[in-house]
Amino acid sequence: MKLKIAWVALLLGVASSVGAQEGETLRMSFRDPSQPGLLKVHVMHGSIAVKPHEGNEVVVRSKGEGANQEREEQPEAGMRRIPTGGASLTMEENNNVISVNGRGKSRRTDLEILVPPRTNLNLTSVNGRAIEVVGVAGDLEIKATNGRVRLEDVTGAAVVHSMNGRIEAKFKSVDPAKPMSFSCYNGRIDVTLPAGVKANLKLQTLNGDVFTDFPVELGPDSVAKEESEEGKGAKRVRWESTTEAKVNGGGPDYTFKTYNGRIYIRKGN
Amino acid sequence: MKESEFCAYGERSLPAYLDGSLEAEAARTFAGHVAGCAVCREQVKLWDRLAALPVEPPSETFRQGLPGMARRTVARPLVSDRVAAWGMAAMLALLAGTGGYWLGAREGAQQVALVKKDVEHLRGLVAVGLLQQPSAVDRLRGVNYTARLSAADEGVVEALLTTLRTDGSVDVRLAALEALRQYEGRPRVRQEVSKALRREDSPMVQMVLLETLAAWRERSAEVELAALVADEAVEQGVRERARQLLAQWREKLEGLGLRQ
Repeated sequence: MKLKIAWVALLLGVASSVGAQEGETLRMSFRDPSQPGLLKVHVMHGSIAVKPHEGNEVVVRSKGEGANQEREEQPEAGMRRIPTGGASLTMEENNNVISVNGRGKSRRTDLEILVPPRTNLNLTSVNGRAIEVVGVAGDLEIKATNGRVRLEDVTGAAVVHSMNGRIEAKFKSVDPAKPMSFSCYNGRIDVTLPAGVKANLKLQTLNGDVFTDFPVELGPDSVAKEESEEGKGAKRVRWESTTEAKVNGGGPDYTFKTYNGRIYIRKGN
Repeated sequence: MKESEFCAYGERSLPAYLDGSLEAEAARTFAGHVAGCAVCREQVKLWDRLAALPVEPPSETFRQGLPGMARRTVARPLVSDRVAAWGMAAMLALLAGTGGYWLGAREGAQQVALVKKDVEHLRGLVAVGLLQQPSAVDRLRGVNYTARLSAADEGVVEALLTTLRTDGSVDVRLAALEALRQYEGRPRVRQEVSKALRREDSPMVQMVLLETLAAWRERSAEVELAALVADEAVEQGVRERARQLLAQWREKLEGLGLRQ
């Protein structure tokens, strides 16, 4: 088993103390370029932006420090900060999976990543401003805790969760065999799908509404009801009931769930 | 098995028909029979669909993971060894694309008969295989696939419970929870869904778990709900919903005179 590990930025703290604003650039190739590889990125503090490029390698540029300086506590006059490790970034390849980890203790590391156009992505950011993916084709798995998610001009299928930020996704084309899912606890989901997409929409929102400009065929039990507990024939509508609707005759399941937020499903080109 | 799901003629002739080893005349006769027999038609359709699934060369990960996957699959108690072996053969055919495994059917006409009997198990095994894929999209596909099974065996239900407990994707866990709702009648499912509340860290999944338990009126989950209410690390809205639900249940019990 081939395992490559690159360690960087040992001490971004040191870098900042000498005034460097730009972080490092890491490069690595997938072992088998004939198949789409999987890029996994996990950062605690920082945004992730992914774009395609012509090359076969994955290029990760980290931009540490600068953007976050205003948030850091300024030392008192005459005091200097002693670097204690700060952020570190690791990158490794194993079986066509490249993993990038940024586990800064408190400092922010924003990542700009270039990938081959067909790459599967698994991106997680806990405290980043945003996760953005533009123009990549593949299976996209995105998880943001405190930031928003933006997918633009993407192809394939996506599974996206955001806890406290909105999800915006525009698909150039979709994989007709694959399901998708978008879920958001506090925020809006706004997805644009190709006009000809065939899908079964499964929609669920508590404090919000669903809007679409697709002609949809609502399922027979689009608002599920059940007998009240007393069994006196009273009906109640439950949040956990899911509205189902077919687009263009139906296809794989596309699930949209929000707790506090609206859902927009737009017809693209 | 219901009488209507069984066709003795198909049972005898299907394996040879599928692998093309029937005499021309017998094949024609059987084809004519298939046209008129819903049971055999369904069988032929299923095998055609399985054969038509796109095949990808097996990845290194798959090859390495295969022995472990086989062990895990075979270890499931209510899936018979034969079915597990068959499931693996079918999955190999699907995933590895080596027609040889599929043609292995020739060697065991009796086994094909068993597959017919356990066809839902086989579908279930394909779903379980998908649930173990590294891609969340594939796992989601596996969960959705289980929802189409008319009666899943324990193996599938356990795999869904494992997904609910351990899957890294919130969306896949949500989908698994939704798929599990059809097994509301199984005490183990209700119990595990209750327990999942305590382990779960996503407010989104917690909220849907609460709504599921509310819909099931699963009052044995009171302990879990109370723990959620007491835990200050839990998201405010979730705690509030748990508190409401708990109050509702207690009120109802008091109304029935079951609680002081």
